[in-house]
Amino acid sequence: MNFVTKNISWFVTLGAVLLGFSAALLLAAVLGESPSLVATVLIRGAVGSATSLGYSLYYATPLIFTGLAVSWALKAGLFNIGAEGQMTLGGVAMAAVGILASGLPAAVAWPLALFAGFGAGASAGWIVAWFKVRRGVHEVLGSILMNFVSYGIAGLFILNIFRNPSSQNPETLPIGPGFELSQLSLIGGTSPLNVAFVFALVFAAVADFVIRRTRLGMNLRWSGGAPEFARRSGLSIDRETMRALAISGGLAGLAGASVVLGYMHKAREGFSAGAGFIGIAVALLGRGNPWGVIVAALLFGGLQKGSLDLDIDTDKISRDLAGVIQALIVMAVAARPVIEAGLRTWLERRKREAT
Amino acid sequence: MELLIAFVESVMRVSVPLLFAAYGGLISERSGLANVALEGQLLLSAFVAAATVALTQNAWVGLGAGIVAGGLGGAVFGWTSVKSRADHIVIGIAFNMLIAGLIPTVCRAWFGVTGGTPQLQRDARFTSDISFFLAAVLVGGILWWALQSTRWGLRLKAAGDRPEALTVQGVSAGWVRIQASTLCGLVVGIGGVNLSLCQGSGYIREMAGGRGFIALAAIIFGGWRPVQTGLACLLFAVADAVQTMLQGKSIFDLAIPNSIVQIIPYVATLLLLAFRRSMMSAPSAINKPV
Repeated sequence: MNFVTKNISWFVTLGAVLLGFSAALLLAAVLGESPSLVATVLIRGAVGSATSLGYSLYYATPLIFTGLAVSWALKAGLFNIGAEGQMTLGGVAMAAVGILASGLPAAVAWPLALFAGFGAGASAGWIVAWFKVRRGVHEVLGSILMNFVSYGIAGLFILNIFRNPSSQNPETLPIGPGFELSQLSLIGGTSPLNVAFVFALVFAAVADFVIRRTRLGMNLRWSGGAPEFARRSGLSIDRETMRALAISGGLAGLAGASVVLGYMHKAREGFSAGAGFIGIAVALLGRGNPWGVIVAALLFGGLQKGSLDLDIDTDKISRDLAGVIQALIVMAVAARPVIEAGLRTWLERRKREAT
Repeated sequence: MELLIAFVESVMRVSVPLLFAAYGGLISERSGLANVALEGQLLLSAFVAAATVALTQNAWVGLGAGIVAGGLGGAVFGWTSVKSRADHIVIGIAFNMLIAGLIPTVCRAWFGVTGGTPQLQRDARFTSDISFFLAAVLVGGILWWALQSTRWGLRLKAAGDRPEALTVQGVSAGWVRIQASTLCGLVVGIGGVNLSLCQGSGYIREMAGGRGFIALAAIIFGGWRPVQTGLACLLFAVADAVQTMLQGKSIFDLAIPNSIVQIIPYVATLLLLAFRRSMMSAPSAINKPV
């Protein structure tokens, strides 16, 4: 009992995940599909073989970046829902560098591409911050509108400026060989898993260190957690806002690395595939903690891979069920404090009645 | 002259979903419920309306079903936001995600494809843009009157500005908000029906295209007041109509890339928001739990 009370918030988070899955399975049953089949397909698709597992980790990679991006802004009390657009711009910038400087050797090529990706995402984040700080446009609305603007700008580069004229698909020319990230074959199988996954883990570790141990991180936390205190101790909240959203955008900008540099070796329209939006769910489930973000990203990456098989292996359910599960988990996690308080009262009453 | 008439018609047509979404959102926002779920409510009612018509071949049944679906969506969003005491924006985003996942899932189970409902026959749709527009203006007028002259309006505004004053009177501010959100969904629902049964010929994926968010921008631009919000919708509709007109056109023999033309409404919204003169502020207890 004591163990439960102490770790109640972890239990409630776990409960939220289970609730999301059970509700989605119930929905499958209502729509006339066997819930046990759906569950089997999801699990087998996510971790059933080395190839499946590789794909799950591959799908988790951009989610770690976008989850970190959203968490970073959340630390400063800001809600960046523009990760999708920032990721798109970042990936296009990586492809642009890879096309324009295609002769560069690997040692300088991919660091340069990552730098470009970070810069493009950070610029988009900075614009949202500028509109917030200088013109009073709430960052939620600003970043949503910037998403649409980013799609347009990315479209201009993918469909007009760098378009591959000999391809049927809406995609750019290929990047130079030095820019291609090497595959990760540790776990075997034939998946597009690449070094970007390791980058993601490294960035999570660095973000954790910076947030907890450096002045930059302290200012970030203060400006979000105790803005009045931060202001009185000489911190400019405006500047912290600009910095937080720019870094958040930059992290989201890196999310395209795995797809663009590691797998497609070009930018294709819509390559972000919603990873920016799922990143919001990842950050909320990971509770703003970089290690929590990794766990949540692995869960949702596996879910994304598993749900792809739903299209083929079931007659009535599609991959979109993953979105339903994620949304329900976010709602339940958001209600965590209320659920927790309710549970506490209930547990205490039971204890009183027992004695 | 002909071009001008065509343009005005185009503005009126594209303003309809914006107006309904903005008026619905205004009700919810004035009650203190920050509403980023308008996009999901538009999509939900558009889908349910089109799916109902596909099954019944009756546009009026579709209209009813779409409005009811919008109301249900609003009720779910309002109840979850109030009862969870969580950030309304988080709940709103989760709501949008839920709808974005739910629609294609149900769509595949019912129609075998995830992309949208089957094409609807012309006589199973609404063909009069102007009546939708007039209905929107009427809703705006009623809202303007109700907000300042009825007890409902007073309670709504109290829930948004000083919920504790309602509590003192023995009225539950949370309940007022849930009702407001339901009403919001019903109104937004008409806009959704317009999307799939009048402007389009059925539901297609993501057909609201951010209109729910532009409507939210219109509310803010209009300072949370009905008349100004309506005018803001018209202003944003102008940007959208310009966008439609410019598609596939060229200036001095130079083709304008469509990707750039398509972002005109969003850029215009962002800039208009940034350089608005009135600084009317939001209801003071917006996004605060009660």
